[in-house]
Amino acid sequence: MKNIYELRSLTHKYGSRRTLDIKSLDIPEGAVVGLVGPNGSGKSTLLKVLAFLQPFDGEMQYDGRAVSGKEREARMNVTLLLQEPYLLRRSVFENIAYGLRLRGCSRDETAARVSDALERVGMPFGEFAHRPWFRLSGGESQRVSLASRLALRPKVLLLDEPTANVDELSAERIKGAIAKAIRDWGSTIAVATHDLTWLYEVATDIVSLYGGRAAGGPTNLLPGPWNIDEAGGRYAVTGGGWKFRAPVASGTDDMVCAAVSPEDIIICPAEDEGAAIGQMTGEFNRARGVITQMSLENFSGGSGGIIAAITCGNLTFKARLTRNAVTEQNLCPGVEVNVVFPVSSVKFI
Amino acid sequence: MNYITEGFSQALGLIFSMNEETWSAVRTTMRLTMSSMALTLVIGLPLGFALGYHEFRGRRIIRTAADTFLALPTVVVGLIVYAFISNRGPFGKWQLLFTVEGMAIGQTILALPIVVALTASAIENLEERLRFTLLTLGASGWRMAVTCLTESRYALLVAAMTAYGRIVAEVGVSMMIGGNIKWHTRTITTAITLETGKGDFALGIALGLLLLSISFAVNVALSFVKHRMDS
Repeated sequence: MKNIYELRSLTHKYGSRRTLDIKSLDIPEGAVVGLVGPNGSGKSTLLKVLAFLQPFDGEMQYDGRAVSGKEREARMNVTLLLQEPYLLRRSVFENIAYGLRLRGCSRDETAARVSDALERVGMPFGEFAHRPWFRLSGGESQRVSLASRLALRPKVLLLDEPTANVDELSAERIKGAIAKAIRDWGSTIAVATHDLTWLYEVATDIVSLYGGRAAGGPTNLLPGPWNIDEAGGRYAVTGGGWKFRAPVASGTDDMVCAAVSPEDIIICPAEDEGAAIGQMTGEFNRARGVITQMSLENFSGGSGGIIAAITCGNLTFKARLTRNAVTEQNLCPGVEVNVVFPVSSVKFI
Repeated sequence: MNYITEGFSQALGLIFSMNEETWSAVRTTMRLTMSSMALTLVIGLPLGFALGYHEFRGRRIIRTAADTFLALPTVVVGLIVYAFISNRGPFGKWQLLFTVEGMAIGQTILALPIVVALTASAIENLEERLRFTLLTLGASGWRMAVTCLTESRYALLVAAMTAYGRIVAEVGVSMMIGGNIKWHTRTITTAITLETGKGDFALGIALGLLLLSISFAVNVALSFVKHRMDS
């Protein structure tokens, strides 16, 4: 599959603070990429860089061409929905029509697209089109903002926490509109969200971010500080009191953050740990927590696997499970389990 | 005290009898202030946008200069413009001295810092989310500028009203550049100065009432425009 974005050695700074430091990141055309990571991990900045709103150092290719962000054609095909929507001080219709007029749409086409976009976000044209911006609730404003992006039928739609700060109904409408846009136009979508259940349902790829660094897949991040012990081994003590070790030869990075793949996470009731580890040898990291979420995953070609989120103190681990494992071990949200992963599976990003 | 009340009654007589001398000053004032305002807005809005939106070397100095010129003394502007457009000045060949056009240039210089400084301030105060929203919808260049100015229209309306207030009430520039020539460059403010000096309070008061009426009418019109924008 062709990549719509290719980022290489891309960095971004706010003043002297480095907010993005991405060695390599590809986003395939037509993919639905979920960006996950804690607050301040660089999700919003990455989206702004992808939307050509922020300057950057390094290399970014869009649609096969190196771009600096000033290319009009690229900018016309990519649009970003900000976390906190801003509506122009005009009517709903004028807000949605603004981008269409910039693209030279005729009056009839503009009206038709505004109507279609409003319908997609569950706002009847007759009721909302001529309503001024100040007569909308927060959820309605976010939906109008999304409608103004959907009306453009963009090649790339970037969404920054689209369902944060809105009521449940608006969140459902927004999710529905995004799903419909994926089905109807095959747009490439990158979405940053903390709504992991929804994300795992719609995303075809997951990118985890921490401290501006990106790792592919729904990686479990083990933030530092990482230290080196007398034997040269690396370890970190997390806020929950868990001590995790990383292999000595796990790379030459500056140990900002380590990651573990969900495939390497074993979860099991405490008494069954021996059986769960089975024939595996070597040193293991351990934590204890409670399953807080389980969702069907769509990414990696719709494997139909199950992603379980296990909260251990202030850390949340994601483990990829098979249906059989879930059934056999009676795993469900609320169950207390041990989280075990080999020291050798810890990698620095 | 008597002469004041008599002055008021005579003033109303002058206004309602359509006294030609009174209304000539009103017409000149209207023509002058409208020209000055048009010129000020055409030059001031783009300059204010550029100053408020773009980062460039020397921006802070220009911004400080614009703020300082908010209190530009009218007679100093009159003096400088006089020096430039009098026969001995570099623009003397255009014969602008003692014309309404010359007065409009002086008043534009007077009002320009107000429009530039307040527009720059309005643009600086726009949220970054607006800029991101416009960029992400595909706006750039002059469309970005026009939309930003439209979004800050209330602040710009205040800037325009403040500038108009400065222009319509000033005497120094009009007196020095226009020369207060009857039927030609005599404005309401220069006429009031002259008539009061001559002791003709009735005409002075009549002109004063008309000046207040003009200011009131302009403010009502702008408030109406603001109300229309809201709905």
